[in-house]
Amino acid sequence: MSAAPPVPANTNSARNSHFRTLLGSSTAIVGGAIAATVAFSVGAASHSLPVMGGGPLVVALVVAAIAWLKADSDAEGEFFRRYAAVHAMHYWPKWSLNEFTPLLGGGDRRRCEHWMEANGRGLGWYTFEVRQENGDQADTWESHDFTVATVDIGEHGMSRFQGVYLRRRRGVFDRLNGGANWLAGHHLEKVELESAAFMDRFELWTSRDQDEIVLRQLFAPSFVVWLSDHPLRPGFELRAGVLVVFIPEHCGQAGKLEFLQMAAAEISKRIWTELTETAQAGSV
Amino acid sequence: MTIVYVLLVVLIVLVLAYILINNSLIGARNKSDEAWSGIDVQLKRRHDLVPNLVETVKGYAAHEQQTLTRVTDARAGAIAAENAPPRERAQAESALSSALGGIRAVAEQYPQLRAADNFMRLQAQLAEIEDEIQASRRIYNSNVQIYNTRMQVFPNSIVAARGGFQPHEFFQIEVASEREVPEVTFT
Repeated sequence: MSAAPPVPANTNSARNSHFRTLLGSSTAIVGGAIAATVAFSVGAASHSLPVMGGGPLVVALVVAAIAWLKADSDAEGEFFRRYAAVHAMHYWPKWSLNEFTPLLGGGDRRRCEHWMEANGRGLGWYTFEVRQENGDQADTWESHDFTVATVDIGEHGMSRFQGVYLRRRRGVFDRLNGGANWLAGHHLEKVELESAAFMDRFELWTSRDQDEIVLRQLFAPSFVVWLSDHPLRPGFELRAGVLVVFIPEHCGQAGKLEFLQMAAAEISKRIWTELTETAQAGSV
Repeated sequence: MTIVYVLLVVLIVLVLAYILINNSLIGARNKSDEAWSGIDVQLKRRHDLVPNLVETVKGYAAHEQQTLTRVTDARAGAIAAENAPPRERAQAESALSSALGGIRAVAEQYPQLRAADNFMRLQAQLAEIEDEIQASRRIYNSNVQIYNTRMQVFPNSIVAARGGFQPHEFFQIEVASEREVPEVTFT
């Protein structure tokens, strides 16, 4: 059995080699040559020296630009395919996530790319878009990018955690942008924890029916310190037995993705520990 | 007349600033107090665990009476210091940590005790509580630092002096797990 090839450092690592391959491909050479000939012929037929000289040049630039865009997309796909292979995960270039948590149901339309999944754990890029109505002009869409890691916590988690939502504290401009607030309209309660450093970095919301004792047990001091110190400042949402850990960007670096997966594993471990302890206390 | 309006505006701004600073100081002080009660909860959990630990050790190493008495006394001292200021409380808790380190040393000499399920479970619980104590201490000290700094900077210092705000003490406690230095051998 051969080992999977190593993961490139980031989504751009393989772009140059893809670009060179595409430029050297018969499609690019033959297609470019035909288009350049057509441009030259059009210039010659219209007795225009600029078109005769500039036409083929423009064609060459257009071919290079298309090849560059395609190389960029191919490198991105290759990065995630190899990342999935190394981590024994299945890979789908496009995916659709169920709206388990407010984040996954945010905005007016949603998409999920580069989805990787195995053993109840998923990882990929998620975007929700908010429609901006412009009166007589056509609507525009404002994108909000995330990298999400999901963990299936199970039915027991559903009964203990009705809804816990942690995200980075928003600045003044974010607060003014109502569409970007995916928690709005969910009738949640804001929770204050004792750590000032934590509350400077995060905002914590819960469903109104969330048991506060269970919540306080989950947010034990060691967990609060761990979250406050974490360099990624990961947010998470826990609802319907699904944990969604996220950072607000499309992350294309292998190291950072690894780190996000580790954060999701640590958070899920703490949730499971909490669930196990509660179950044991209940059975005594 | 204009000068009266200007003075009025200046006065309103000063009063608003005073209220805002005062509220921010109260908020920071409350956070610090809240974090202190977080430490208190964890320390009490440790106090509650000690009798079980002592009883378990007694079952396997009854003649280590001196160590066990030291732990019991240290626990009594820590409970007595529950309402003491942070520095005194830290001393009493550090003495308990040191005494608990003695139990770990005793366990090294009694393989049966070390292997006992109950002892292992209590040790794991103690380690978990001590982690939480350390985390609570970090949260408290961080809140105290924010509060003290907020109180000392100008113009907050004026409001703090008038409002009777007092600086809080940091809490430094040594826990048993910190005392264990990992053995490194170069062979």
